[in-house]
Amino acid sequence: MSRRSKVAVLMILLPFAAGCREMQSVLAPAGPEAERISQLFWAMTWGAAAIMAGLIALTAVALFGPSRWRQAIASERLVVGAGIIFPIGMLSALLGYGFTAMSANAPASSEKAMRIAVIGEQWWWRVIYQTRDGRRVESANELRIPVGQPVILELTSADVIHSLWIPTLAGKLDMIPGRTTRLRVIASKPGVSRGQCAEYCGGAHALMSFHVIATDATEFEAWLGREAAGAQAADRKGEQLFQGSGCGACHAIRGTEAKGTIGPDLTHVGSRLSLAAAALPNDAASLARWIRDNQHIKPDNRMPPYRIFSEQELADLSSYLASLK
Amino acid sequence: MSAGEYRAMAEGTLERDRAASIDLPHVDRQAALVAECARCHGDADTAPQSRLVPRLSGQAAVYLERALNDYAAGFRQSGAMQPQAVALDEKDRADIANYYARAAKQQGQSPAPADQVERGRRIANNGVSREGIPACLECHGARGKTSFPRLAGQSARYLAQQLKLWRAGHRAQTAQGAIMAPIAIRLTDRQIEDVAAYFENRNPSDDARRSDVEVSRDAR
Repeated sequence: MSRRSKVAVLMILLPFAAGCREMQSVLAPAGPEAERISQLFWAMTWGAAAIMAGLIALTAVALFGPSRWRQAIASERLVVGAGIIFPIGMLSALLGYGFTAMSANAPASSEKAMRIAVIGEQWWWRVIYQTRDGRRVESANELRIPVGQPVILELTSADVIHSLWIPTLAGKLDMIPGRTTRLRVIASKPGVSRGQCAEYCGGAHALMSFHVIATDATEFEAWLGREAAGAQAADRKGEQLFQGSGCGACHAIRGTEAKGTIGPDLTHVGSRLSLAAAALPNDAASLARWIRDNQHIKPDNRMPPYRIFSEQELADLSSYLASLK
Repeated sequence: MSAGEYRAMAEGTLERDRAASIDLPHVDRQAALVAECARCHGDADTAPQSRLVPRLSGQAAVYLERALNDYAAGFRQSGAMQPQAVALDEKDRADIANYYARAAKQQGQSPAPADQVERGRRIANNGVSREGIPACLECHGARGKTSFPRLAGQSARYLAQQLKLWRAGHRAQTAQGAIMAPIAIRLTDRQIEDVAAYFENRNPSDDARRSDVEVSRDAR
């Protein structure tokens, strides 16, 4: 195969490759909201394909067909029917379908459902849950939801416009400073999906992602109970380093003296799937890299690089953070 | 300016013969070195000559030694300090640092109005969360490591000037400076003046460390 034809084959296969990463693909819907979007997408894709095929056939007839056929398609009736009436009818029907499908996705502000506040910040996600007894539980860069029940995400922004997009669960919705927008998601099966910021929001925008973990309702309740509790870590050396090095000025670890609200809450950072808004895997080695070299890993992020620690101190500090399950 | 005042500015107020006795054995050598520093920075008993010059008394030895090393290595630029620091060997730097670390902290007195000091106090204690400004005292107060400088009693003019240097990107070359640099960028001129005034007025005994006391006044 020549180089050019290889490229052509790859181009044709490219749209199908998008379905491979099922964690973050509109083609792998994991809830009714995303399914409606997916149906709309396929209806439009196949509809457009059918119209395209019809057009190609008409063009072929116009160029190569027997004269009787060519005469037939040259009539004014076809121009009026296929050129005016059909597009108006088709586009109006599509518009109606689109409106119906999308308005079913938009939650009413009075809808009874569990609510989770998600605040977009440059360049991470602040996530605030409420327990049944009304306690506020702050977490970051990961979203947990119970399977099978509607959850309304109340979105806003602390700085610029962001957009929250979990392709397997719902469409994108902007996060606008000073305004709350609402997105309903329902996970139809347990599993992990991935979301990301879909509106350019400055330097590290491309590294602003997160995981969504859907578990069954009892597991979710148990998790929320653990998340609401303070930190449980036995590593005194690491904790002292954390408190003495100013980390607590920006980060909170509930149950300790660290009460900062500028950066992500780290009370249970060790239990999350990723670090730094899904920029790194979550393990002690990545934590150490992040503390020292975060400006190389995620340029322009708001955390100062901490190159002041010895290897031993860095190991103590990162194993302390990793132990915050 | 009278001739006497000019002499004090240029040569310091300490006796010339102490400064000249630099070849004497160790204890006197330290005294002689300190006499050189004291011409601008004051010593255990006297305040600095000018509010442009930082107070060193009561500052942690780790911090002072690092500052001298940074000047000598060119990580911190200063026409006044670099030639001095380069001329000192490691032992001299440690001696000077230990002398000032053992000296009692001095209380400053800011001429700033009370409401400005109060605004600075709020920033120093609570930061400004919405603007990404952390509380200064998390590092520069009782809780912070000894390698972070204590700021209580420090000259407001000096502090404001340093924050502006940081904001302009001139002090990010060291590992410690790189922590301060992105924070300084978030401060407005007014916030800089406010926190500087607060720290000058702050009582140094509020900085007493709960743990990891390195050189305390009792150790004198």
